[in-house]
Amino acid sequence: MNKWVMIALSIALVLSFALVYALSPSDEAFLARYAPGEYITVAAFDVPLDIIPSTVFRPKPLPSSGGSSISENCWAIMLKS
Amino acid sequence: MKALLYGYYLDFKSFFGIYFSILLGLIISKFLITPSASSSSSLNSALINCMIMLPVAMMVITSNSELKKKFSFPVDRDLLVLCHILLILVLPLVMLLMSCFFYLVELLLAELTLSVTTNFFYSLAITKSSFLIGFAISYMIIVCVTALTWMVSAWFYRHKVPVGVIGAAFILGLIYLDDFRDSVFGLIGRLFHNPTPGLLSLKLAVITLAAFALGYIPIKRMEVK
Repeated sequence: MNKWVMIALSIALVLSFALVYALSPSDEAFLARYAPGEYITVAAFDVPLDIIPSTVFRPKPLPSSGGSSISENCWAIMLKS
Repeated sequence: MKALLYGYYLDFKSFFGIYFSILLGLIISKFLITPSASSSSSLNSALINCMIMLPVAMMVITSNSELKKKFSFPVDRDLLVLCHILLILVLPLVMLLMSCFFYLVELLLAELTLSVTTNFFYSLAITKSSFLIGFAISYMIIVCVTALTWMVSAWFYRHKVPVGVIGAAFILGLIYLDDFRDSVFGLIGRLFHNPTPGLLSLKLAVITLAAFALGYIPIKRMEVK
């Protein structure tokens, strides 16, 4: 392959990295954008009557997460079959 | 060394062609099939691709036929190993940089789709710090896995029977022995369990260096006619 093509490809790859970094929001901007208040529920699921959700429980935080927001905010629905 | 690296560059052109095609195909098929694009998908799929393709490439370049094809005067064993190490360090970097390019393509396609149809949404979710840390840790993990595969392959092609028996016993143990499987996964879990990015990088770097040192031994002792 031509040397200049290789140089151009290398520059394009490095520029891609720089562009992805530049286009990404900061942590604060991201959290503000995806705050719970910024969401609405737009979908619902039809569930057959014979597998009505019997229990809605909140799982214990994972030991490794130290009670972090991921497990705290994670709700699970158990379907009793 | 320059000629040797150029030889490897020619060999890996088709490898990058395959990688490019896979990522492009994944992105296009995703936009054709699903009404949404979420997470940092091209970055994730690039990581999985690297974890599959690079070990296969390492198995190929350490094979007897490939080594002997490259092993001609003035190339010696040290130079060969040095080139392999350079490949292990450079290939993942190029592949991850290509994934950044595809991430931009993905963003562009998502914006274009959004402007054409309203029945579509996307949330390609990364932040500056998560991108940098993810890039660095992904690079370290891929280099580590590639170095380990290189080391095992280098031993395997020089000592097929002992390494084959040990490898087969290891895989069978993972499949059939619960305690053994739990202890192996526990060991891997301890490596990744709640460390800071710097500590994880240090652990991975130590494993990588050990793999380089161990992989050097069979190639150094390699018999050549």
